[in-house]
Amino acid sequence: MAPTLAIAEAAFHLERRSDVWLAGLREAARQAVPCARAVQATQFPGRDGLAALDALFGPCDRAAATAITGSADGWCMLVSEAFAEGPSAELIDTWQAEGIGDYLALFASDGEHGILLAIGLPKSFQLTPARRAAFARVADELRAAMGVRRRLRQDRSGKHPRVRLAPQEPAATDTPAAAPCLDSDAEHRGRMREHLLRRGRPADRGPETPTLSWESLMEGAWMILDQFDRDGKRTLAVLPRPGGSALRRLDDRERSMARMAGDALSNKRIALELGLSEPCVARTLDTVMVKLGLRQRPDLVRLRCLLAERDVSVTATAS
Amino acid sequence: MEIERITLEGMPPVFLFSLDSGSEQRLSELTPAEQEVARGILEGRSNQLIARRRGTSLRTVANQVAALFQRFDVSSRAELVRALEGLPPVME
Repeated sequence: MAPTLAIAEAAFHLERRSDVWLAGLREAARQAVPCARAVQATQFPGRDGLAALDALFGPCDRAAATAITGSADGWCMLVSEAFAEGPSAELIDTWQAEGIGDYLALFASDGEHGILLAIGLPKSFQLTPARRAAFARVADELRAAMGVRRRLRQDRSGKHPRVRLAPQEPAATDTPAAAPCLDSDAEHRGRMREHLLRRGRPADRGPETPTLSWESLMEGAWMILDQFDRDGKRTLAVLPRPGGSALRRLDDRERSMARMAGDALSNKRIALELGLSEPCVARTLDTVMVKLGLRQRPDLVRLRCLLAERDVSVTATAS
Repeated sequence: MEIERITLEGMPPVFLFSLDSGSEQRLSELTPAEQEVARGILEGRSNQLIARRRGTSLRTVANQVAALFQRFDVSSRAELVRALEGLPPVME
């Protein structure tokens, strides 16, 4: 992946050919996601990648996107099923005809221009930890190439070539002070958490929420946005996705393993019960954890303790 | 279970709830030292981490964990989490 991007960057710098760079980016995305059905790379002006996403694919899942990153400018790894109407209806039809079920969108902006990379995924796509890591790598490359840094304070030296996306502009002198820098992931999450805890107000009315049950969790109806400790208790922030989600739905085998792992059975025992090998169980449970958005096994056990015996509907709105 | 519903501008409602389902009761039956260790296990922390936070040695924590296993008649950390949340182990 790295050589392709570097070559494309060089081409861009030498010849100011942004189309070459975009092609390199597409190639990089294809290598990172071999099963990708289609890759679309577009430039957009300004910082709002979500607007670009809207323009390209129709109203996107802004809630999920902003919930993950806490801001609309910057990079975002968004997984959405929201193929809706929009100016690019033809593109949507084409993708759906090709069997594309979901898409992954990454965008990065340097404040003035941005790149939006949309990767169409097949319907049978499974989000495994390895794939998640591959997406993260592509996103990192994208950001590095855009000169957008992860750590605000440390790296203003301009080591990464700053890529100007509008070839018509003259070779501008870089003003390092003007380089917009992204905070780290943790800082984004921290901000989002603050939003959730301080500025959010209790909702007094709204559409019906799907019941929080083990079943609906298995269907992928609940997306865990964040986990944090509040008053010493592990709190989950979840976003309901009524109707379930194709990417987060667990298949039969994953469901039975999730149930058993939630019942505090060991991998060895699960393997015995299902007649599989232990590494197979371990791998599948890794996928389950990624799909559910949980980070560790005790959380799964506790979630099951919470949900297994009863269905819970929203009754209380605390202050 | 208490669920808090939060709305932010331009976003659909987000729900907050605590993962805790009933461990408080069982935790209160333990000594403060055991409570700390038990909470650590509930949060999925390793023995080493628990020892570091408590300022005791790894062996002490390992012993305390073993004692908790015996107390609740379980044989793994996951089972202990389930027992602490107040559910009987799954029999098959």
